[in-house]
Amino acid sequence: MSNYRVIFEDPEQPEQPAMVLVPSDNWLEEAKAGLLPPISVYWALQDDEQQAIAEGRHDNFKHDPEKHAAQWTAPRIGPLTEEEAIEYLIMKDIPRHIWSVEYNRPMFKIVKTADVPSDRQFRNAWRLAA
Amino acid sequence: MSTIRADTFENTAGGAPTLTGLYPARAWCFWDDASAIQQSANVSSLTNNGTGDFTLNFTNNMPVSKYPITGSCGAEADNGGVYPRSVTIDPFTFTTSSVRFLTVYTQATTLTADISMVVVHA
Repeated sequence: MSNYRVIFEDPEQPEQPAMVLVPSDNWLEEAKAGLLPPISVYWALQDDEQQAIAEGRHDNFKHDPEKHAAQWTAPRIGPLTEEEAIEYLIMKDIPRHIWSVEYNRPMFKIVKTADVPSDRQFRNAWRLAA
Repeated sequence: MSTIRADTFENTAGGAPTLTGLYPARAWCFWDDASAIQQSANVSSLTNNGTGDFTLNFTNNMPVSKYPITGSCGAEADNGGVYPRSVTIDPFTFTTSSVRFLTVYTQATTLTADISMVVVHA
């Protein structure tokens, strides 16, 4: 099991409690084995999809086959440490406006798994401490 | 009868193959009440958005923006009949890279289940 979790808030959803990103062990193993494509492969797919959403054609959206296949065919980036893999995962799975824009307080934090409460009481009141 | 022995199947472009007449799952995930992923395939992470509110992020994006998902959830102990009973998908949150859903007790109440699981086809 990963030693880390990522706690983040979305400035576009101020009523939303702090969210917790939990890495998959299988994915972490792939990252450590050097099996991941460059992050730009995922960003290219995200860009195409965002454009389809903006143009109102997302209902029937289908990825360009070559760009989609790049997830498997692009040269691999090589083995990552667990810490590097978590940074990669943030850029892949957390919306870009949360980690790429500087706000007046941190919008995400990488924390030890043991530091996240296992008790889910008051879960919808969780906030990211400054 | 023939036996096929291979380590990897891929299409001519190097991507995921089409298996004529076969429709395997594209991703699946099984997690506990602390959102720890117990087992998964093609899942890079799970986001716990709040009580009974999750986003599943895929390792490899789905080829299309709409795809079927099935899920179930439950509790190990009957807490006076109060436990989540179904997985509800938010139809506005489908993307090729992730999907958001709720584990639901009643129409307006979400709860975190002891175990939850979803399977994705595309």
